[in-house]
Amino acid sequence: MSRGGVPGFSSRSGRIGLLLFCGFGLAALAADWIAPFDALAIHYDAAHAVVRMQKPGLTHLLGTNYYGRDIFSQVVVGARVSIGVGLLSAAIIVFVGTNIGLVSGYFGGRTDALLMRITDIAFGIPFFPFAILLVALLRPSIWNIVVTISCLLWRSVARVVRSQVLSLRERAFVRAAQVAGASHLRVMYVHIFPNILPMVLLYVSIGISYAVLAEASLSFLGFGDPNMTSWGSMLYDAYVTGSMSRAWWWTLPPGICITLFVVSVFLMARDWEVIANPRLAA
Amino acid sequence: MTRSGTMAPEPVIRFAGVAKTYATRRGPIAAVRGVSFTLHPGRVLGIVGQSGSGKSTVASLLVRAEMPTAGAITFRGKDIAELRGRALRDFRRSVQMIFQDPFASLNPRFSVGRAVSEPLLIHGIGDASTRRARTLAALEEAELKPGAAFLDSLPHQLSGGQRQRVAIARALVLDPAVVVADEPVSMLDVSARAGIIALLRKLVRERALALAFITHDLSLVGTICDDVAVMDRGLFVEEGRARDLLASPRHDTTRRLIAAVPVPAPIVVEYPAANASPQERQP
Repeated sequence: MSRGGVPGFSSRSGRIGLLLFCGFGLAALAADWIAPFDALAIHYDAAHAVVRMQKPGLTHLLGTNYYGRDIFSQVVVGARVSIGVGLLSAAIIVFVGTNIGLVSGYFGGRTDALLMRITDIAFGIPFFPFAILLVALLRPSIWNIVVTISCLLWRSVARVVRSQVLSLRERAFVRAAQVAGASHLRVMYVHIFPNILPMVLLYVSIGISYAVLAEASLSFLGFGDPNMTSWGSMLYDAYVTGSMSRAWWWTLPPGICITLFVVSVFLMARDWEVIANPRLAA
Repeated sequence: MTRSGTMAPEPVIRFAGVAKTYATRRGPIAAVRGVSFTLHPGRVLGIVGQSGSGKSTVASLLVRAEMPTAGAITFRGKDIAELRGRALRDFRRSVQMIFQDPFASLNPRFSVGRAVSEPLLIHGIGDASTRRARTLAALEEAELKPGAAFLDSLPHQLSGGQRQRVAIARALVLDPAVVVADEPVSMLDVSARAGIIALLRKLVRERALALAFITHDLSLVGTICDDVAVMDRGLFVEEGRARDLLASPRHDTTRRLIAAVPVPAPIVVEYPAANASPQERQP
């Protein structure tokens, strides 16, 4: 990895990732200004007929869909839901998982046994059946999708963080802090946490991509928020109207966006390792 | 139990019949089976024994990382098992430890300045500038000079001897009365050992520290310890003044430990200059 440039984004792949991520982020934030039309507005031509399945053109940059809605506007507005759900869910997943793993590994004994059995239960629940059931029970909305994703996906973060803490807590520097009189909280968050930070950052990136994909999958299955457009719900609409093979301009844009966004996060995460590990930075 | 250091002032730490038994799945294991000793300001007690003799458990008991299962440990006359709140914080400030492995005892993510000032932060001592001054003073006292040059170094940038000095500075920064050194030089190069031993001796003398020096290596005892206790299977089998004990060991364990000390017997081989190839002459 070369030196110089923005710290942590020194490699070419990292910069590409950052650029893509910022592009998506800006699109999501400024969606109302970028999108030429309301994403849910139905367009009519001069003869008051719905403009269905129009190919990309000057008025409709990416064409229109079966319902006569502008696809470019949908992609831009959909970024807000997809990325918002992804970032929020990832934050909750990593926060919950890291804390459970830290407490479990540090205190050990009964605390560990209890927390890890809860984690085992979370591991035993298959994601999609659980998600579909929960979203169906709670009414489809983006908040419920966030809750569903967060409810289950903290489990692998908790496991991995615990295993790291189990080895770190035996290290002499942890004993040194305890002997010096540091409280449990201080030992956990000041002394141990910085040493699991690379792992936590990795799980932030895995969490974001997993949550974006999970939101897209749930929306594709028809459990998305009916009043909001996301990349997943666009694919769902294309599927239920039987347009997947007929209108490439409808299915490709959301598909490519999902892929590129997930890739951008992974490209950046490779460089976060450098920020988090002082040996690599030196 | 009789003490050899009768002329020393009041003890800071007193072990009275201290035992430590660990409960394991295969039944109890007695690591320490009743030891009594005292630590005095300005004196060094060596605790010597093979691995498994219980000497590291004694170290853990000394710093209250473990609690004894029998007997009492007193610090300035108070039972340390009963210390709470402010008294416990005072104890934590007064009793510090130096660990065997300076590669593991420093947090790899903390700079030297952060590592040495951490005990001050824990105890909420001083503001940022006082803490910095005390950190620098502790580094220089541990002979890392100039201290300011080391503040931003990370442990992996230092040699083993330098790291151990950082660990010593961290132990000194709270101005302790007692320091427990658990095999402080066994992981170091021979060249770094003498410097660390000399530093510890200087600190004991200048600061009137009470030092418990735990080692398996009897050859170190003569260089630093005033008194020695030899441990075997959880008991002190022999104790006394360091030089008396080294000169006339009475117990088998002590004799075995003395026999285990490597004797330097350098045999100098001189190659005739004409026969020596350049490779052979290289060290």
